[in-house]
Amino acid sequence: MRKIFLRALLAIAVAAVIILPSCAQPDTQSQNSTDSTLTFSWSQDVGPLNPHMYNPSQMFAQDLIYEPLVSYDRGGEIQPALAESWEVSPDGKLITFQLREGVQFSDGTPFDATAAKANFDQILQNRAEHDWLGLIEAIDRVEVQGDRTLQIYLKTPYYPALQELTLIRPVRFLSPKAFPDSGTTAEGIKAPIGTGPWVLADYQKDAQAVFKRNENYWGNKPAIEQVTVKIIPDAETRALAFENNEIDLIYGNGEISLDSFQQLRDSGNYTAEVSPPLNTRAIAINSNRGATADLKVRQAIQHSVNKDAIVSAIFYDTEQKADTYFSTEVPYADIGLQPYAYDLDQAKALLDEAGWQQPAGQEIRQKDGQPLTLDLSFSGENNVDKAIAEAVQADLRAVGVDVRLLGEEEQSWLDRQANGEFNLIFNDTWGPPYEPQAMVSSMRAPSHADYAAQQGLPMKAEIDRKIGEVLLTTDETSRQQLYRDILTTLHEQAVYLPISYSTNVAVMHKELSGFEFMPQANQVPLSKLSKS
Amino acid sequence: MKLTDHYISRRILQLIPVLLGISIVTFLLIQLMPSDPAAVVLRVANTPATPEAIAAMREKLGLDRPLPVQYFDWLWHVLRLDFGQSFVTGKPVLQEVMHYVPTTLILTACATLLIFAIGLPMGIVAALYRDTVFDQISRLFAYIGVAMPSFWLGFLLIYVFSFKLGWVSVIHQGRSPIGSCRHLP
Repeated sequence: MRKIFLRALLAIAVAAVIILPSCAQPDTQSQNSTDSTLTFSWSQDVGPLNPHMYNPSQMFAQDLIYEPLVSYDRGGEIQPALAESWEVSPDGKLITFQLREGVQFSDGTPFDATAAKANFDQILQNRAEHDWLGLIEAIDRVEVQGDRTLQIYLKTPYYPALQELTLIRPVRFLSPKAFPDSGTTAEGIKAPIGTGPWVLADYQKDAQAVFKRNENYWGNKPAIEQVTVKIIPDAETRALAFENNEIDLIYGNGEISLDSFQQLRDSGNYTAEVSPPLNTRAIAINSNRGATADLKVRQAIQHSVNKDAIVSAIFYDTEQKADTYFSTEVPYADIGLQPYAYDLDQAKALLDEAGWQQPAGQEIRQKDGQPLTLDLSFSGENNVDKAIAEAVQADLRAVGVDVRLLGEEEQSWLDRQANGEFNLIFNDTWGPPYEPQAMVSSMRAPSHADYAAQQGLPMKAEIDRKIGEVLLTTDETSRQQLYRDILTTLHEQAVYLPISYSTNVAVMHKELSGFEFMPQANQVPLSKLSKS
Repeated sequence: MKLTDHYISRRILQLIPVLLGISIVTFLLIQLMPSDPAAVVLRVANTPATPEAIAAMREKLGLDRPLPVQYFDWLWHVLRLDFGQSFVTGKPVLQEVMHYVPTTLILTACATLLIFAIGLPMGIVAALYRDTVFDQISRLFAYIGVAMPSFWLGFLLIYVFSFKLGWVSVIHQGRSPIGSCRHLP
């Protein structure tokens, strides 16, 4: 009796093991077998893809569909895009664009001056949302002259206007037919219809988004017909899917772990690339709180952190060590600042001078009976920052500074950036094309860590005045001088501890060709890729 | 028959205070969050969080009212299946949750099927042949299953069945049968 029962059970189990996998067998057609389609993967859903709004839309996907008036080339050069040419008036308060002829939105609506103005009007009705961007603040009104001429009137001269028009958001152009029936685009759009090289063809939230080549595109059409973006939140799963030939390309920063990147690169089976430096991973040092209010302590911190070790142990040398808050690639930032050398003796001497003495037999320095303890805040979800934080903690302990790691929920970390409750806090720069102008401009806004960090500087008012001036001046020489002053002061006051210049990494199968990195950090180079 | 009726209805009645308790605890846990929800909403919308903007948002969200009032207001809406609007997407929360229901149900059904196909027979056999090798193995299997963190186990299963054996795709989920896809013009 028992035996029969046992056999029956075994039979059921065996049947289940055989049948179940075949139920789940995927249809192999969906895999990337054809030459004209490409499968890419991203960690987050692409979002509603409203060109005039921010998260949860993903910037790379907005960039596939929508185009700017002018585009940003490496080193800050401005190139024609939807505008063929432009002219800035001598007083800097009027920019006149000649729009490209024969451009259509992917729904067939012509892109002309009226359509462009309609988009500006939508954005300008929602100024508070774009408060962080000086350009929107500066625009007074937008006017149309005939079919092809668009005039942007500014309240004050604003030299970075062209740079900020290249941004992926918010000034890109949606077909007026996709505007909502009532209200502005801030409340939502009917469909993501742009002029760009790609058209959204299918969208399944949190599963995938399919982009088809825009067959009526005015510029160079992509070589690939279709790109499928698979949403895979987990980096290790993405690496497995790549090795399993289910995706063609991995691209981005943090989209795969650097362990996986190194392993895929070293296998020799794939093409692996590291981009030029993008933004700066940095820690802001609060000049308005506790021990870090003292310049000597801030300088000592600069001398104590072994960035070479961090770059090699955490980034496997895929990133370069950063000596200055802005890399020398950034416009106006190549001004020959003297790096703070890794020098423990100098750090100790500075701390001694600042009155933080090391009592015999104790590890942590003291002043007036108080130990030298600093709070270092980071988002607990960010594993890279956590690893850097641990390295900084160990380095500072070597000179007698106790670092308390505050790895908190992301919103708490952002709270600290805004309210200044930190000694040290992770605060990365924004990369091209935001640097230096938008980043510097934000240093005046109280909700930014930069503002909190600089708050204790005796010359903060002067820094802010110069920032205001540098954005307004129409004279190139005085602009260079002002940037030199601002960046030199911030460097000398040691309010930022730059760690490394972050990069994008790319891994792709060898049959892909035409790969090149894009000038903006948040663009993914899909349009030039082809498959052999 | 009457007895089971009675038993089931009693259990359902007991569920009410439990659910109420859970809702209160959840509600209070959110209050422990260090960030001001009004500031977070503004941050998500990319609006500068000035004190005035925060105050206005607190009023708009009803966060300026006493806690019990907030709780009962929330409970009253939840009882009518109105979970409010998502701050991130601006869509009704219920709609956002419903989006994930089909996949969740499929996963749950598959897991149940596996329990019946593997877990139950193994348990019965192990019980019939107590302290035999089979019993020991099944016990070890169960311990490992419980002890291993699910994300790690999940990754290993993907690694073995999708990558090494190639039985299923690493990422392909298949179109869910219930209309979760939204076609665009």
